Amino acid sequence: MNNRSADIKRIVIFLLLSFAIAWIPWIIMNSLYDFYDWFTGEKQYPFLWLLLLAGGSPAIASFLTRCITKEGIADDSLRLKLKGNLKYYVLALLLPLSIGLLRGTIAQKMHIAEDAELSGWMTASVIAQAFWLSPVMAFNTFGEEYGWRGYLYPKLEKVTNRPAALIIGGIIWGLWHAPLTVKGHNFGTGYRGFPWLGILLMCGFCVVLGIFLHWLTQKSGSVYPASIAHSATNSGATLIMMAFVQMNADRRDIPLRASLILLAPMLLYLLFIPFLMNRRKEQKCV
Amino acid sequence: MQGTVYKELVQNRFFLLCGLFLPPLVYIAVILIGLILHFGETDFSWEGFFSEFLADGAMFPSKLLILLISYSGMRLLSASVFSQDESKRKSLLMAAVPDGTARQIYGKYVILFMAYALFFVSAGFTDSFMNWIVFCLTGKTTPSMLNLLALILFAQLFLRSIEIPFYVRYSARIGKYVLIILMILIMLAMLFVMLYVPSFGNILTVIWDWYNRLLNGELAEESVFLISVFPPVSIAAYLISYRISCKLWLKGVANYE
Repeated sequence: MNNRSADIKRIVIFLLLSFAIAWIPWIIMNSLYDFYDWFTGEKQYPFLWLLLLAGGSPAIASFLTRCITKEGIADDSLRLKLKGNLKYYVLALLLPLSIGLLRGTIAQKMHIAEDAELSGWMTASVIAQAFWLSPVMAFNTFGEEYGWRGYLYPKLEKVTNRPAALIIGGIIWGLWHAPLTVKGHNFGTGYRGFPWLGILLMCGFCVVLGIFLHWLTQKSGSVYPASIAHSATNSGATLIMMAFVQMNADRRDIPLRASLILLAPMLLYLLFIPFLMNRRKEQKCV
Repeated sequence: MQGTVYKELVQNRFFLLCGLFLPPLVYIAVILIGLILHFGETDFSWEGFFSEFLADGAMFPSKLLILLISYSGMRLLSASVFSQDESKRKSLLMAAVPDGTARQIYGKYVILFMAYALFFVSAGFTDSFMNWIVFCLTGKTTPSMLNLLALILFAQLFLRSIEIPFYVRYSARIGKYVLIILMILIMLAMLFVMLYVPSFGNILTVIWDWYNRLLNGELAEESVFLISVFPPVSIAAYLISYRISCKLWLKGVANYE
């Protein structure tokens, strides 16, 4: 078997495993409980272990694929590589939080949600928490980054080219979220074209975010900066936004226009495309 | 060639495994103790047991006990990370390598951080899993422990950042005694200042008053801010502690056998 067909086989096995490990518990949970109860609501904590397991499915799938296809489990991207790469760690934290700040300002100025009305102490607390909670909660996003950016994207680059890998990888990543998107994750449920438009938007969002995360992984040669950036986008930026507007966990009735306006600042990540096309000073991570 | 972190990973795999398996094992032990206490009861039911033992008021003290036992175990093991390399010949050889001092200390700090981070993830996972069992049996949800676990993680890092330079400078065996003596001296000095400096009493009154208001919930927002800035402070302390340890290590090597 030549290298290309071996890589395609590995991609197929990896995708089957990562979708199965995540989708089966998500579909079961969706059928048993209300999505806003088990995913974001008060019942979330008893199911956190399940969320971690499903969220970590790309990492588990990557490990299993390496074992099944006898590729070997040694992986250089698991090293921290702090020396000379500290700037990528700092950027991984600061850029998503800055975008969160921008999103919060836009939400407040455009009256997308009610103003937060936090005191000075509480605003300072929320911002401080965003800075340390993002690296701490990176254990939650590590599974995805190790699987998608550490395994899938480099494999896709081998069988296609970098622009195609970024688009295909982002679409796969967006589709992987589909059981959550069809229940209202990120875009709610009350918009025209539900749920297909939501799935399509999620794919687009993942392509854009994937550009920045892949750039971080390629430049640092480690999956940890991308894990921090992903975590800062998920939890850190949300916390920053809470300093500006009241963020309701139940987003089923949020208008699609509001979701799109809030996600628009993320288009700034497209600015990383030229840097990603320039392969100089990149570190081999697989 | 593998680096010092790899060496530490190999040497301290038991410590890392403890970080990973201590929380579930202690959880199981506490549940077993609870079961023993209910042994022989005719009206025993799993639903009743979990409802009473974990889901209701008894849950929080049980969890705190679990954490206390687990962290005590981790605290004892962290000293062994330093004591196992306290050989003068090996240390001098390491110091002869370019960046040897920094690499030796870096490995130790990374391993300690990894063990505590593994503990945090494992404890969070186990606690959530236990809550799932309680939820399945009783339909009740219990409060999340993640915030408390994260704060304890940073508190542990802060405490280690104070301890480690003493282990490095005086060796793990002598370092803990030096630390105890230093603490006693600080307390005696405080006592002396309280007795003989008149204005110090006023400062203490202000601190005591502030502390009481904090406990009574009158400074809720300020306390939230203090809790929020503690993790970055502890991380900064850990990094400063690493720098201090690098400077002290060669002096400490002179004490090794």
